[in-house]
Amino acid sequence: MLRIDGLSAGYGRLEVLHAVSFTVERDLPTVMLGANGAGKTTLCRVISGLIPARAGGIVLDGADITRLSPAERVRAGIALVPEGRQVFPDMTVRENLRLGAYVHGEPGRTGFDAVFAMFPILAQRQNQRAGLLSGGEQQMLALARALMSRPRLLLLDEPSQGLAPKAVALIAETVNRIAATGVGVLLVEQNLILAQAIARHAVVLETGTCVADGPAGDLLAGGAVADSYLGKTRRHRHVV
Amino acid sequence: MMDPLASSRHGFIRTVAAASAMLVAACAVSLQLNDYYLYVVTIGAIFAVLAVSFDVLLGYTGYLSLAHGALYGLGAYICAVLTARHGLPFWAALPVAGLATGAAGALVALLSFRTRGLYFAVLTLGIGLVGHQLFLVFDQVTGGVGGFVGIPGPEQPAWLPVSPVAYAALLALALLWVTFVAASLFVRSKLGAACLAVREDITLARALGIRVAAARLSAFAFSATFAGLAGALFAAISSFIAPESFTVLGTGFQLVALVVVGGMGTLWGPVVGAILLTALPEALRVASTYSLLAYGVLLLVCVIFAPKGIASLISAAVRRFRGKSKPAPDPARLRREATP
Repeated sequence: MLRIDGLSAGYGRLEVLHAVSFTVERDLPTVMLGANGAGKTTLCRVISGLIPARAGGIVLDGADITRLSPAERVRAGIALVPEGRQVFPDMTVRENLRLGAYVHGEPGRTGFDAVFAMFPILAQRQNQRAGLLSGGEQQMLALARALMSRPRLLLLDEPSQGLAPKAVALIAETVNRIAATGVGVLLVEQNLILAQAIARHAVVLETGTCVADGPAGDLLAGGAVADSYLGKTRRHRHVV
Repeated sequence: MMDPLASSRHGFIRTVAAASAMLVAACAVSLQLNDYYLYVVTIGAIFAVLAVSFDVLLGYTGYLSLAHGALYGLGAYICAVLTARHGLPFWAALPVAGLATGAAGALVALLSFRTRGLYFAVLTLGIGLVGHQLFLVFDQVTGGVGGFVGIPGPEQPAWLPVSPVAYAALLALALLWVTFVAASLFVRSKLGAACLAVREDITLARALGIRVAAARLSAFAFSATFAGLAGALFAAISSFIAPESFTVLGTGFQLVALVVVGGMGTLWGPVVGAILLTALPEALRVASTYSLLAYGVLLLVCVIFAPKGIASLISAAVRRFRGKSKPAPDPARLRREATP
């Protein structure tokens, strides 16, 4: 459903992504693995339109979205859950959700109810300030807010960052439920536990280039990830 | 900064009801006052209109504009020219002045939103200075430094048998009500929510599909429209206007003080600020030699003892008062219960 084709991007004179190509299928939740600085966040930003592509193309369900504005991409069905705990802390849970549906106008009761059905805890806390939620709940809110835009593809930028293992497990379960409703998932992660729990397909990014691409089981179990993703491991091996 | 209940429709109805009650009370009290205090009420209400409109910009987008005084003046001169030179009735000139000033505000926004933070403030400072100079330079239209004389007052309906001075005060209070309700609607609207989102986190806002430029432009145009309406009413009520009423250093900075002292981003705080900082010094003019000093001391005291504005003090007092009957939930306990 999402095809990334020779995509290059960067900031100023620095090019971070060099001709990256891969695809995400609707029924194969995909994880993009890579160490810090590999270009994972940059990739999320290019796909969601926050920074422009320098070369290459992004195709969503057959439509070229490379030159669309962020708002047009949200309307086309791409929802980004940005890295860090990205909620508006001074707004209520409900106001955060309302902003998720921004491109479609006012969400109305049915819009909220659909999301509250999946996140009952947020229904209970809908009038509370988002900043008072626990870390895991804030990540849930960020997920729920992304769903408010009725996405075709969910783009998750390191949702496990700074969360306790229990909260990570809950996120995995939630993302799997979302994927089961037919929403495509591209997860950008360092956390192998979350990657294993969600992904069926994996891509490995190393300093802005795709170095491995295949079924998640093979990649995560075999040495490919350890070799190309964990630079640390390689160095460690030299020492030993 | 936002009242958790304020987002609901219920909250809006309650806000309008409270504003309406305040309007009725203010009108009833005003009718008992002598002409001098009626004038104080009028000026206080007009500055409150300016402060509320300014808060939509400063409080909800976080952008400090110093061009607001010039926009206020633009509304005043448009009304003056239309009524005195072209014989338009006040009630026709008022909406024209508002809309034209709103359009001018949109132009200012297009020019100035290329910059951020201090640069935005400095750029709007330039626009404010140029605007003020234009009022002086185009003396064929504006009367220049001598001022614009003989602006007809607002037509008074026969069913309202009050003195013209009292009528002016009632009009200013009514405009304040309209401005407050319109601003409450705006900040609860999709665009208002978008402005807040942009202020809090511009990257996240863009990722959600919010068009940053459109959100800011709408806030600026909204704000300018009501500044224009305030100017038009000021012109018609005063019958005389001069460029000195619309300077950057006078009106422009005074608005910043009103909104900051009252409480940014609350809409009602700036009303309190306007009453405290424009009506009070005026009412205390008995000791006129000390009135500017009193103003300065008042500003100092407010900012030292209520750094987040008088509105935050009042909110805290109300919360404490309510807390006696119903203990507020402890956030830490809520968080513990919430952790999965």
